[in-house]
Amino acid sequence: MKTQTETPRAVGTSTSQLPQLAHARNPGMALDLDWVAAVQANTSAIERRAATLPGRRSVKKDHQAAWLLKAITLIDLTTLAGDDTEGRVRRLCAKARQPVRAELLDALGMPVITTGAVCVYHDMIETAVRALEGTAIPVAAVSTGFPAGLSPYRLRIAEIGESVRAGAREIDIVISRRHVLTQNWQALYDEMREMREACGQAHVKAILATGELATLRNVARASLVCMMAGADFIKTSTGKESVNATIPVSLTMIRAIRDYQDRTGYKVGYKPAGGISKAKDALTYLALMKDELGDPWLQPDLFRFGASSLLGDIERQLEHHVTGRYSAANRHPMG
Amino acid sequence: MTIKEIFQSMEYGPAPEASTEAVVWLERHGRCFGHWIDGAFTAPGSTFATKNPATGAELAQVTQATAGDVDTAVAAARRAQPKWARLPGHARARVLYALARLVQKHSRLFAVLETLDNGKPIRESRDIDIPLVARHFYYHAGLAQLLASNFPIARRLGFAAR
Repeated sequence: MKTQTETPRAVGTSTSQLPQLAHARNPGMALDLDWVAAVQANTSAIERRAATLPGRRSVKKDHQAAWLLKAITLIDLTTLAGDDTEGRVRRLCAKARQPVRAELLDALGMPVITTGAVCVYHDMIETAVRALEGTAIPVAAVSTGFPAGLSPYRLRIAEIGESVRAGAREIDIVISRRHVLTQNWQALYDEMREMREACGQAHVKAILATGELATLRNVARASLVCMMAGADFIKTSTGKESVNATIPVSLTMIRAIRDYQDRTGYKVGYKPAGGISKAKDALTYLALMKDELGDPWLQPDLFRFGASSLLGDIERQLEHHVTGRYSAANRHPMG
Repeated sequence: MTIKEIFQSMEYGPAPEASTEAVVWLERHGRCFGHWIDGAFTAPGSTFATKNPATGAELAQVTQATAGDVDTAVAAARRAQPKWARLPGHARARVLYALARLVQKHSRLFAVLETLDNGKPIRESRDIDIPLVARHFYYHAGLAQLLASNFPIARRLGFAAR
């Protein structure tokens, strides 16, 4: 931080992955408490749909390979550990630049692809930005006292500004869960509004920490309030709760996104995070997005996976598609 | 479509259900069927074609039943009934349970055959119709097992075709 200048570092040339360029950025709206109070979530129906979805969609062979490649372009390749070092972040960024071995891509007839973004803690932003120079891959930073969001409010807001100045183009903020649990929607709205303003041009993902919100109705209402306050993305979890992204929670959140678009015309992105580590899970999430929201939500400007080990499993499946054999997981290190 | 094209379009893939097993079964019976009476197929009588509505192709020739066929079937059922009535509940349950298991064992064949025959989506025949058949047999196996203890006054009324 001490070496940072006041202007954000110029990163690459393309900003095609920023949502505000592909779609009109969600400006938010005034808090509509009647709408929030009217939101319901039918838990049994949601669980039933979530249970039947995985067996219903056919994505096999070439389609599976193509969908898995798409999933890679949607990954926010993440390292959020206390023992992160610059070396680890640089290796992760190298993986983000070339997530799949060149000979596999050749065999699949695909051009070079990259992951959707790299997601790190604030102190690693500078390292990541430097390691990704010359690419279009944005750096995302977790902020506002991640993961609990209980540090002094003033510092949480200041942290966003620091991260944006350090070169982060996407900010993952955590909401105050207590505002949801006590139904204090006005406080949640005000907090989210201020955080969005602090982000400026960087796009903001609101982490709801759904594993701590108790009910699906709370999840639906919190999603809606965050979108009203101008969130560009809503995101399930920090990855640090005991329960992270699940299909029922995802269904609840993306239906809130659909309602918001129906009412306001603005598209808000979705990011499930935590616990998605298998290629099969990734395909289920993609089918869910395609069914519920449509093809625009299969692109990195409106959909991301928050994941670290997912990429290794996908690469393993792609290798199987090409060679007919599975390799050991340790042949696909993350960095 | 190439992988690159699918990567752009993000379409679902086709989901063909292999009909090989069902076709082999049809061929084994010469694609010509009599009636199932008294534990065996009768010789084909006056037949008509049953077609695959998706393609219009003929699947097999099946026999048009006559009043005589019905009489034969009823007579066979009457012959079988006393022995069945003498069986205690748990012995009947074993038979019904075995039937349910056999339906499950061959469920894919039944589902594909059903879809070939009447053109309904495979999801319906595979995930709803055939599992329901098996569940009916399981249900009645359960009832038979409880016959003596829970339905002590139950008496036979006759028999019914299913």
